[in-house]
Amino acid sequence: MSKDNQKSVIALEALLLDDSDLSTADLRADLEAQGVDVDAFLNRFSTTVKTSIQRQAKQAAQVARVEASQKKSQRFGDLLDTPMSEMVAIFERIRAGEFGAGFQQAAMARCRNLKDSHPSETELRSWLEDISTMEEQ
Amino acid sequence: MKPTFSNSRSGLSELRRSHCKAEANKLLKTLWVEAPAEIDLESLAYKAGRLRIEEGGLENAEGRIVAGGSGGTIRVKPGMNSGRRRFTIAHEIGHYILHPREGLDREDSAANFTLWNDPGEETEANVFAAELLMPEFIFKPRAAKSAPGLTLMNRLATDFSTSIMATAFQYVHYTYEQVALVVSERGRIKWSVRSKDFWPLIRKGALSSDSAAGEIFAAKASDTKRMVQTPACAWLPKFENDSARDIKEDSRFLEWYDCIVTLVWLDDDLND
Repeated sequence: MSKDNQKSVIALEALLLDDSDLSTADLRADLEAQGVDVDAFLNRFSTTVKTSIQRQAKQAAQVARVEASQKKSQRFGDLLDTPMSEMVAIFERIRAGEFGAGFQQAAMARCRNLKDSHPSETELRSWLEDISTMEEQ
Repeated sequence: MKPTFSNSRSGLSELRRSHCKAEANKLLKTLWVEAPAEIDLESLAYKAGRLRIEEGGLENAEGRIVAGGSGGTIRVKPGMNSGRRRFTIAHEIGHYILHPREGLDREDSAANFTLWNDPGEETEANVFAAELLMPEFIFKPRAAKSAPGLTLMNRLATDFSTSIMATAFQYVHYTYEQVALVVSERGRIKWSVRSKDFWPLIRKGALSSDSAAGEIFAAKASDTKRMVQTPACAWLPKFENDSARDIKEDSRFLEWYDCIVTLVWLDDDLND
């Protein structure tokens, strides 16, 4: 940490620990009197927090992606080699509630779509993969 | 006054539009987004509801969301350009946030993305997507920097990684210029949307052969590549019998949508 930043942090800490009822304007004036560039400090603080929040969200999304890809093959087996007839059977079991209410709800929703157009083998496979990565509810 | 729709079908109410935009901004705030480069859809999808993004597995739809209370998957068809891909993802996030009861499994085809002025959930998801990708507080100041035209739309589309159609729609919604966005298919005007200050109605039905868009459709000319003079009567029924008045238009054929997109601009006051 640079000396300027250290100075800002020390001044900020001192103010935060101070239990007097200072207004925002008073706080700013007090900090400025101690040589702190309040705007620059707040900008730096904001940028640091923002970067951290965005990085954490990105990492969490990436972890979830890895976890999902691991789940994919666990619930319904290897769907890559599963023929259409078997996938339709799995779908029927999901719809019947064998895999839980959450999945059943998704299957029912899928049924609504089936009225209009039947999914292709690729689409049914990817749909089952997507279902398989959902958490049981 | 907000943009009006020249189509006879009623558009989304301002209340719903505001709600969709507010929800998009709420999501952006969770990640402290302040610049186009920070609109990271993988992170935003995760923040919205532990949604992850997958490519492929779709043949008859451009996007699909399969989700429950504990997360889900947004799928996009492979081969789309970056702008359309991002819009599709943002559109599906919109469904998840705006239409939770219907959002468990939803497929969206190309048609949903051009029916901007149809009422209903697809339009709401489009409004949400446009705001998520081009939020007013970032988009508006940038859009005000240059004169209207498809060149400006290109620049904004590059900045925000969006499609030119989505960018132009957002532009018309936010600009103070008198512009209208007109989309034509197979020689007929499909729909149009006017900015708040664009007062005359846009014609309906067949494209005028006097317009640059009409010439592009008839293969008599290529894209205008800039704003060009065009007779006001080519676009505005109010000036049907007034061949002396000129306005401006910038027209381009968009292969992906199989349509011609036109920005009509009243750079002079037609009331004079």
